[in-house]
Amino acid sequence: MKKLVIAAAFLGLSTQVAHATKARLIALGQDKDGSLFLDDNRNAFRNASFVSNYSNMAFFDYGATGNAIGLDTDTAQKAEGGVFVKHGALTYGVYLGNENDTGVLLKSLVATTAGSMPQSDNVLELSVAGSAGINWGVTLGWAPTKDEQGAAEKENKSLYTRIGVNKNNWEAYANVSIQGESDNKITSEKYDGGGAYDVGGSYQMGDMTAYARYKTVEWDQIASGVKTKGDYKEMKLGVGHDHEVSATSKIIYEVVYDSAEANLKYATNPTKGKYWQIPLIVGFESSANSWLTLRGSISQSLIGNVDTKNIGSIANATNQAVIAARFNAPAQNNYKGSLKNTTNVNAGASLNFGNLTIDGLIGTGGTAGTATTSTAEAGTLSLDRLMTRAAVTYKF
Amino acid sequence: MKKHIAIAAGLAVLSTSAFATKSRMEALGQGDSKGSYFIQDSRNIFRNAAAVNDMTNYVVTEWGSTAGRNPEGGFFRSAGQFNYGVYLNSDVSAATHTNGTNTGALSEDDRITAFIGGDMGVKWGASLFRASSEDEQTVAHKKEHDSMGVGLGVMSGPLEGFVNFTFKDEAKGNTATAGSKSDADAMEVGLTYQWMSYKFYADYSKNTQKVTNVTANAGTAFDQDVAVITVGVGHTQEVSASSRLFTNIEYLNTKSEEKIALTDDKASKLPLTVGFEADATSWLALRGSVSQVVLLNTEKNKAGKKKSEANTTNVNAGATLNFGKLKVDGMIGTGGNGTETATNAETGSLSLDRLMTRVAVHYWF
Repeated sequence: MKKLVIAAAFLGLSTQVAHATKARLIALGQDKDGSLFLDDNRNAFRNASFVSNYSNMAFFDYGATGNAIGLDTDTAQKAEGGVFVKHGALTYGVYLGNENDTGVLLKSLVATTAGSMPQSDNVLELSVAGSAGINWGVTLGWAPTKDEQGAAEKENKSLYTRIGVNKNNWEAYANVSIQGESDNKITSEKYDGGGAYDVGGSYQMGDMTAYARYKTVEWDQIASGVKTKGDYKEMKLGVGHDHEVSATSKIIYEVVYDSAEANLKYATNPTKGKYWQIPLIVGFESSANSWLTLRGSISQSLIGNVDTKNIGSIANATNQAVIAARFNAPAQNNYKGSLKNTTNVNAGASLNFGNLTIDGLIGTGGTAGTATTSTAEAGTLSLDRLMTRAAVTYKF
Repeated sequence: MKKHIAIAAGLAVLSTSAFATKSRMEALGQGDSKGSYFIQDSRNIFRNAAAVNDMTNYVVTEWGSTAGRNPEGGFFRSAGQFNYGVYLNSDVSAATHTNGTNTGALSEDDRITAFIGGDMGVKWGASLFRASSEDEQTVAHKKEHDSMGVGLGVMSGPLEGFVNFTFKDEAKGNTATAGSKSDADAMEVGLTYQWMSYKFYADYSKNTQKVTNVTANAGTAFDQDVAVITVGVGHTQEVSASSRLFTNIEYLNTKSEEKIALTDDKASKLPLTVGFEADATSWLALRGSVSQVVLLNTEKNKAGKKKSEANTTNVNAGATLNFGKLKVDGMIGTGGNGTETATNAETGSLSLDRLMTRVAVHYWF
């Protein structure tokens, strides 16, 4: 990972001293939980060693509880936030509300009705990071919830850890889910997915960074009295180029092999979702003036393929549509073909007030003030919905 | 983004010591009613009347309407060694008299609260509130409401103590009958202790309400006791002269017993809040907070069944527009998508057509 603990990273773009939001990463065509080649303190949610790289920062993402099934989306962002504080040689972090979308997605596969499976909620993450010749970091996350009072007795237990290291021009991390259980005792639905892994690393050579990431989850689920095994895999192999055009502007290029596969081994009509693609992402970030930074990106698959089978075997129609969308497939039982409508343009802005930055996505305001997924990106710059995914970073 | 800003460069530098609104407190995750246990704000007078000595010579108005957010406001002045103030239409600790299907009972209206305080080595303060209303026109019989309460507080060095009583909050008559009665009272006692940049606090409050005869000779319809114990610590880190970071964690123990519906709910929670406040420019101060219940999150009903409170993660943001002695506060990011309902109010959007909610204006003279 480039520009690890280098003060110039904070000075390289005008007054931008604090990059720490999903909005910035999404505007640059990156994954909202961190980039594998760009500097951003969201990388601490992928590689815990970056907690010490971005110390003395508070950051908040405005939002509520996400969309109808609990996913964090551009038009229904989840509220979360926290602080990283340096004390002596170590940096300590407390972060609230970081609910993992992969977990939400996989648990929803079990639900016979939308929302019947309890999700991770009230997540607390505690981090500690330091430097002892090599930058290291550890995060522990915990999200227990229980409801014995409602119509359905539900319980969710989540416990996970992130361990990472970085030094000079490389980084490596391993994130492990120690416990991931979700249980609805009334409907007898159960998800048991402990043992999930997310490992990866990167190596920087000049302005280029090569990276690899592999994520896997295996679980057992019970729905309608039937026990089914499931597995999910995700892999990214890519190269990113971060080119500083000037002291206040940069251009980025990225090419990545991106694939994902999920299998639900029902006895009858097992479900399978699979895609692979090689997208090209081109982005820019530039200080328009002292108080405004603008960024944008375009991404499109150069080549790719989708193969989904028996999506209809998944318990309810809402979840079927969500899973199909995750695999870039239309909401139908079977599909095999190329990925459709992969061209995506994102834009974002930062309002800079010295150590305080307000970030957001722009142009996702839809057409009538009600930003649904279908109308959110309409090519409109609406002042009545100037920014979505609004977030604040404060460096102290 | 300069659309909303057309302020000349000659504005006075923001004074971050002059804060007096619900929106500031809520943006910092402190609740909008009685201020904060550890952050200085004039809303604190509703918890400890002695705080009337800490900020004075100002007028504050909280925007709202009778149908929506509560409109209220007041003025505070110093007079020699005393400080006094009058506040209109506060609804702190007001009971909901329609509990127990007491349909049509009058709610508290047009409260007036008077404050007086002094500093004679030890700061002291007292408040007295009164509200009274009646209606003989809407139905054939008379409906009326009366409330009265007092607050006392002292501040001596690092130690503060306060006690607040509502000894009368009574509504008689409802739509169906003149004989209905809703009788509520409230009590709060607490202490705080400042040690370096930490403030420790403990608070006990108890609210009771009994509603009888919602229809003629119907007996008791609602009989509830709610007791809350709050013990916590708050930390303020002054990052610079114009910015600060707040952190607080508290243990909250709640017991709510209702003798008619036979509910007996207990809750133990540990909410953690992290917030910041900073002068972005000479005319703009921004603040925000994230709060969530952590580690301990248990609600238990009479049957002994437990439950965690869901979705406790809450991020709030607010801003102050400074025009010298005049300041406009509000919360931002709560504009929803144009129709602010509970479900869509916080969607992570910054909307210029609904730039601020909970707007308040205060003027310091």
